Amino acid sequence: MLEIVNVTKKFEDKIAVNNISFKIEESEIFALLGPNGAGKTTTVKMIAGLLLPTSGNIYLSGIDVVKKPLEAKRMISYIPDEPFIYPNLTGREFLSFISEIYGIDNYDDQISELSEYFGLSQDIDKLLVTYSHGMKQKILIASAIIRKPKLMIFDEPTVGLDPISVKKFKVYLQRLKENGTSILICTHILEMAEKICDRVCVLNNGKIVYNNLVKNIYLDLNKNLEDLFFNLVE
Amino acid sequence: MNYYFIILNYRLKSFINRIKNLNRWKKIKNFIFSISIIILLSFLYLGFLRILNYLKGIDIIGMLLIWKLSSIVFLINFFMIAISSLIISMTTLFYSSDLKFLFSFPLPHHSILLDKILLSVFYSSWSLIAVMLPYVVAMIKSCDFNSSFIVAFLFLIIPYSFLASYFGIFFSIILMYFFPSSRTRDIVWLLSSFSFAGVYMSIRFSKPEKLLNPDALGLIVNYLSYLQAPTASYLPSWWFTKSLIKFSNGEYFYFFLYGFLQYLMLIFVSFLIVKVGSKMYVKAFNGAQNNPSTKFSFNKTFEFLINKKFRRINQFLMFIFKERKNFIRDIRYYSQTILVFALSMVYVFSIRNIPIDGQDAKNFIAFVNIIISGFVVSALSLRFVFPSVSLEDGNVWIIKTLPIKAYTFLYSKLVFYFFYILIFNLILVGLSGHYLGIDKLIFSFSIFVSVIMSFFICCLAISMGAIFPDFNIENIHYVESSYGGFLFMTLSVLYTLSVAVWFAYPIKIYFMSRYLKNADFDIVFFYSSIFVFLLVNMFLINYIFRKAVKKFEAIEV
Repeated sequence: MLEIVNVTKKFEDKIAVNNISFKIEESEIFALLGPNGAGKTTTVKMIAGLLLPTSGNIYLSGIDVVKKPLEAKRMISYIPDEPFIYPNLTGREFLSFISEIYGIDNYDDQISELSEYFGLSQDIDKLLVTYSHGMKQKILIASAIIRKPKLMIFDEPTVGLDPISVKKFKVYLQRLKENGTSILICTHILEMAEKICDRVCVLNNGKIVYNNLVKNIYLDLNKNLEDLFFNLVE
Repeated sequence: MNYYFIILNYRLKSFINRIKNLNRWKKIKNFIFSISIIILLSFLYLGFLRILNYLKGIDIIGMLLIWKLSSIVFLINFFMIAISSLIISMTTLFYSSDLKFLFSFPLPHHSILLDKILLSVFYSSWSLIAVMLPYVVAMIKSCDFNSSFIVAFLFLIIPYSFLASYFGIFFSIILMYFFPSSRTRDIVWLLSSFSFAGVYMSIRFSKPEKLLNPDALGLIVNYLSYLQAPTASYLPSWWFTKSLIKFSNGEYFYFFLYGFLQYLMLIFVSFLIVKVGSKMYVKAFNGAQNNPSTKFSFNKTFEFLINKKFRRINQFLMFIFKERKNFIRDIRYYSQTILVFALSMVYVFSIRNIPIDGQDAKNFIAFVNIIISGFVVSALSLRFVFPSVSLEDGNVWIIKTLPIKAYTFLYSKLVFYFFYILIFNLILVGLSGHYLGIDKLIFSFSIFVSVIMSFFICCLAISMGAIFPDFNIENIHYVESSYGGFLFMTLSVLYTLSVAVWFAYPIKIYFMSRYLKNADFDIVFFYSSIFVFLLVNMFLINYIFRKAVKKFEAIEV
């Protein structure tokens, strides 16, 4: 599904991501972990097309993300850690805007369904400037779902969400996975990564220091994810 | 006060760090920018010098005329700083990104207010003071003043600029304090804009130029007393002028007395605004944080309806939709649109009242009008069109991650803003042409050239905005006064002047054919010049826009 091959990203003389390679399979929930400044956000930004790799290749279903960005972007939904969205559009207008950009037909019912699911029905016709951080996050998650992408990328998806919404989000992730969507999550919440992800990849100082299936962590190393993480990055 | 110095210290450190960390390319850009400003100010100086020398040459009343003109210049500048501060202070005092950070600290509110007041004063006045400098230097040269006159000017400019800016700052605080509900505030803001526009139009429609006409004043004595009379005697701009007059006459005691009074006034008003204002500021700031929780009914607007039939342009249409909604729902645009409307009405009125009778003179005025409207459109584009890419601000990640071409995104902005700019320009050129009663050929020519110019200037503004974006803006006015803004304005003015030069000869041939019976009007040459003009514009638009698209594609967020 997604293949990252020897990707490096330099900012002037600083190497943010150093020759990393990994794969994400179809219907896989993949966690990208690491301390602050490890290169997680830089990596996902390169996949989403916000940054260009200095060297290396990124393939999504065989399509080179750098050479054919529009084809690749049609298959990706990216949700950043800071939910900036057009303040003068309503929630419904923003979701309609996204749906039309992606050429999705008959999206009205889906907007109603998603706003109901995430508890936004009362506010869906209000301006986004009036939304709280969590509400904006929910609208962005809804906008990612409505596109029916092959790969969903979330950078710290649960920041600002209340516990009920976090639960609902996790349930929805499983539903998406069952429908064949691959999911890449950048997070600091190790417990979430351990519980809902199939595979974890740990970055430190721009390099991959660990990449394995979650179920193998305990089997191979007899450790939980938290212990492993501290051993790797400390 | 100590707390204020803590804030000032951190601002200075940020500024010094920014200077220290300039890379080579930015240093070169700064250098080019500074040289360009010096060149621009030098041209202004030469222009002012010419006018002042002409006035100086008028027997007996030369100096009187110069001081009358100066008092008007200082008065206009005073109002411009006041209006500028009205717009800038609203965003600086209530919507700056660092306000939440500052308010979260145990800082006295007056120190935060003081910081924001000084920033507002600086951003409202620095460029207008810079434009005054060549005027003052031209005065020194033309009137043989001592070079210490510039020191006197700099001494007096401090209370002048502060007092002018305080008008806008105080209005913003009062508005936010008494109308914390955003909806009410918006209405009051709109009414104020209408009132201001109304006052502006009524002043102009009362034909004040009659006062400048000696014949209208009947007697020479009346005219002389008009020249000697104070221009708006209750405003600091007149005190400023009066002090400079005293200095130029060598009456230093009175100069210092007037200067001292202005500083006294500054201290008093500053004390008042900080003491009283800081009490109101917190409530006003809290009010500014509220947003209307109004529900909007969702109707599938024309963009959605067209979209159903033309799926190939769906992305373009959706960005037009987004841009339109943003424009309509942002109240800040309303007041400026009202003022622009008032400006255009006054412009057309002024053209209509030009005392000329001959048809050829009218045709000539229509040609000059194309060029002047080009300058006005440039200024408008700098305010509305150029910052539109930077105004995407934190939302630029949406555009970069959506499967849309940079071309589609920029083109949608171009089409959207072109529509408004074109309407404005057609009002200026079309209505003026209509009132002047110009020839059909010149009228059609004016309209055609104005359409092309509007599109070119809009395209230049969008392109320069995309080539020099700033996605971390605190205040829209910082974008306008950036390198990109300056470069856009310079190129746009050069373009407008080039249009004048390009068509000067074809238009001359047309005028000659009307004046001289044996002079033929070479219609093929005339239309050829228009055709070549069109081709050159198409080529340049294509070139600049493609550069902008490439630059935008390469932007990393």
